[in-house]
Amino acid sequence: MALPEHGPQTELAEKREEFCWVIPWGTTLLKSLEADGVQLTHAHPTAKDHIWLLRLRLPSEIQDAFGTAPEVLLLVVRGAVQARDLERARAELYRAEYRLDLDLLVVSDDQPQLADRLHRMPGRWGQWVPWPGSREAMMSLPDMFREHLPTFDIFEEKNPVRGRGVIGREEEIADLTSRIENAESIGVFGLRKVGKTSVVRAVTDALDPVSASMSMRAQTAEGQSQQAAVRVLACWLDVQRAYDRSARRLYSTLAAEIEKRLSAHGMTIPSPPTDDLQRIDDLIRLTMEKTALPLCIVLDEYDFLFEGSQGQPPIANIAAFLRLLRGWAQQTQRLCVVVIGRDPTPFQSPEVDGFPNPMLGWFVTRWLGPLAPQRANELLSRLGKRVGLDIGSVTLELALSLTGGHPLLHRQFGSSLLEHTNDRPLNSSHLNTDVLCKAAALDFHERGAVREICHEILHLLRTRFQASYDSLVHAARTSPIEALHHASWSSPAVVQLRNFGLFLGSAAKSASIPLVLTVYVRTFERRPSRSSRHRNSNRRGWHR
Amino acid sequence: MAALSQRLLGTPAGTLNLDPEELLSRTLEADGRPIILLYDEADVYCTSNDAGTNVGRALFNSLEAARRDLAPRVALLAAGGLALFGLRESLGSNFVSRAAWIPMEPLRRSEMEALAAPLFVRDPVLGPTVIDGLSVMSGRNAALTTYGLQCLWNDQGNPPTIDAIVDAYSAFSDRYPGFARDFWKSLNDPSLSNVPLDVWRSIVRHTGPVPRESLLTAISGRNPIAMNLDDALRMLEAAGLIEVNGPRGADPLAVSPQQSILALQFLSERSGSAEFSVRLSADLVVLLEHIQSLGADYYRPSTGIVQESVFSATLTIGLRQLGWDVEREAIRAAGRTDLRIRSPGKDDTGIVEVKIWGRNDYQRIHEQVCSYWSADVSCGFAVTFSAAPPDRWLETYKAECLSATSIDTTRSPKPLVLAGQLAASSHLPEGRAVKIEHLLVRIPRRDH
Repeated sequence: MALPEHGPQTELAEKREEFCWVIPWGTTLLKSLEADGVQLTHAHPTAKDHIWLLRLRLPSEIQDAFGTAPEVLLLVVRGAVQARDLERARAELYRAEYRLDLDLLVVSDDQPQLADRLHRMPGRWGQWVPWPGSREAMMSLPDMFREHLPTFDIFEEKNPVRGRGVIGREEEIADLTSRIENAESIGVFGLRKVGKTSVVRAVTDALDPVSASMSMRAQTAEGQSQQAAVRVLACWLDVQRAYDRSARRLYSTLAAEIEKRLSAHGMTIPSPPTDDLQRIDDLIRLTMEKTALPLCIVLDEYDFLFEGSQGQPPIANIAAFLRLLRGWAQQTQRLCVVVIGRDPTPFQSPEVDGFPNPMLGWFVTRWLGPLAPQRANELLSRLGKRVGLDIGSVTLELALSLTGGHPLLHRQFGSSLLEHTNDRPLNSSHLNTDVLCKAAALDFHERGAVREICHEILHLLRTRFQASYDSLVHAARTSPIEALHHASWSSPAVVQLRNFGLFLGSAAKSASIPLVLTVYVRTFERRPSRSSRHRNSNRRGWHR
Repeated sequence: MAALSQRLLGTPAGTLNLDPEELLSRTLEADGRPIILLYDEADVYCTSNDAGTNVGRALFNSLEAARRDLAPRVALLAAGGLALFGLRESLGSNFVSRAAWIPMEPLRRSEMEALAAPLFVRDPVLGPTVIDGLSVMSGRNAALTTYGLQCLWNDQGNPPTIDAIVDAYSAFSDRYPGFARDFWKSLNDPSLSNVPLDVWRSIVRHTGPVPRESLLTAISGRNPIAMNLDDALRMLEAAGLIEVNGPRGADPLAVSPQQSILALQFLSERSGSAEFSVRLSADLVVLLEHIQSLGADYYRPSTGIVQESVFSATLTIGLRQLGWDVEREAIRAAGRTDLRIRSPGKDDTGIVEVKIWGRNDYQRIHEQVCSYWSADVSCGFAVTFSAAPPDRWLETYKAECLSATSIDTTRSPKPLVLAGQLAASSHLPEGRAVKIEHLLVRIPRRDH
């Protein structure tokens, strides 16, 4: 059951009283919160009255100190907390329309060794702060934050982030939100782990909170999620789910996702025809007839529509699928398609499947590069606060030079910083990172995730954008200025690198590349053969 | 997954076309408990079939998409051999990019001793030499170690000895022909353009840290593939063929090759000479150069260089893999020579004596080889190992080991890779002139 909004204060007072009656340490807990200026805004038992969910509004000094959202969720269990209780709490976090801090849960029970038990619980999804219950006295919540928040590496996140976790993309989100609301079809391109899925999710989550709840499995057997203001009906499909790359699986899986969304909107879905493409057609028609809302279909990893492993051809009959979507988009102005991927080449090909390319002139291309410097700084600083790090100016500058603002690489640097503080005492005050950032930078290059990202970037360029690869490697081995003598700032090869955010700067004379790539190329990339060097030198006068 | 579907959801066995994410989602709804998908031997699916389709890549990427959407209630684990490296592709693999890679590292010595504990209980006098022998033969690979211990355990009539280890690992290729074949096949996959093996050879050729330029040169000028030096090093580490002992970005790179029967199988090309002694000499030198470059496995910081028997065991296995018939500690005229070597079907015989510099009667090595020289012997070799030889070891060796008798010493004209190499001639008591090749091998010292 979702936490209801408490209008009258008497209702909250009644809940407080009930809470203190049911939970033996409830009174002590509430007194401790009040002593720290933490305000109880909501309290509600779950279906079992010994399990309570409380919403707490933190004073600004605690928010600032630890980089939290204004409100956090507290799970209180009489007895020993179970994994299912944590699941219930997580569902609550996502139901509450992101006012709560999605990455933070405070857990209180009165059984011994709460911290150890929480540590061993499966399915950890954020920072869990144990707050052992006691009738006599309880440690203050800020002290518990100080002790336990640094024990979870909040930087180490490789999955797409949601809610407040999406940092530094406000302009991109605003732009995409406006376009999707106007049913424009968009291609969002960029390197892996640059945040494409997170950004598009932020847009569809805002426009369609119901799809957000559905995607995070926020509904439980105890009740339905609240209906929120839906401005777009959003459906997502990761194209890799069609693992056999058959048109049939692609269509049936997409149709199933559209059906789910329409059912959640209260539509009655007719019996499906045998032909899956026809089914998609029918579902779109139903949407257009039964609602005035736009329909947004998101195809993540769209590249796999056009190429599988080992250079497999496009999914059969893909042009027919795209023509269907384009037809509806043009006819109704209420269907938009968002594709997410790394290679926009299929957009530019004149033909697909032997037919004129339906994507030509239809999609708007948007490149998502690394975070702008001030946004990258914000990411590192905000997450640093959560784990007790005071990110200094030297650290920020070093991080930016290393990563160029690539979000995952920036996070990995933060993780490396955190590792270097593992020896500090628990419950210590925030640690300034400038004294250890250089040592952290050395370890940063050694991290498996960092090398994996660099490897992926170079492999993508080497196999699909050879000229860009050559320019980047040349720049890494000499300098960007030197490389730009042979391929101009506006050449296709360099423009591709700029789109990917691998050549940074606003002009050739200020061009730079992330230091992590420079180091990686020099350390691990093979030297060109004599014949290729000679070939390249013929073309561009480059020889090393 | 079809079985899971049938068991938990009651779906018919033939419902194989259910989308993995849909299946997992329904299972979570029906059961509520987290799901962990474990795929063992996953590398079987990570190579391409005849149609060029890589089933494993597509499946794991699809499962990873499902895991991401259903996180944190679904976890995915794939265990397998080296072919798991084949999961990558030009668009990048979701699974690879998010997965934590956990290589199964070679056993530590303490772990080997723990595994061997039942043998120690049965045979309390079991010495460290047996563990040393197991270590260099198995490369501390868990499967090879277990194999060796199993052979020792099964041989209940006899106490575990270095001889038993030699016999066990000599028979390994015949008992499990697929093991080594599959091992090298993964490293020899055509899509890898020989990169891992060339990097390994480059490492083996160096004693001590390897200049990065050597490694990058080893992989230069290849066709575009998914493997760079970082990949090659990871793959070789996962194969148990090397150990990286410091930052991967260091130059030179602190990397050392690991000794094992698998590494012995890839010795460099042999001499094509028809003459027995020339061929045996060339093969012995190749083997000793190999031991010298991989030799850190023969040194223990606490006890120093391993026993002679461990070296002679390695020589036995190596020579057998090169096609020679080798008999260990064969009784000769004056006692036991370490190795007696013959070419299959031929009468020519060579003998090898192994010593550790500074131990026992190392100074009498030349006389001992002479004493073992019977009528059928046509060549003899004296091999001396040391982890801390004196400066100007060859001169010291001549003075200590070859000066007491009337011996002509002439240097070998061949380029020197070993620490020392020369031929010394003398006469047997009955007047026969013999020439003994003396080979000095320096074992590098390294902490394990």
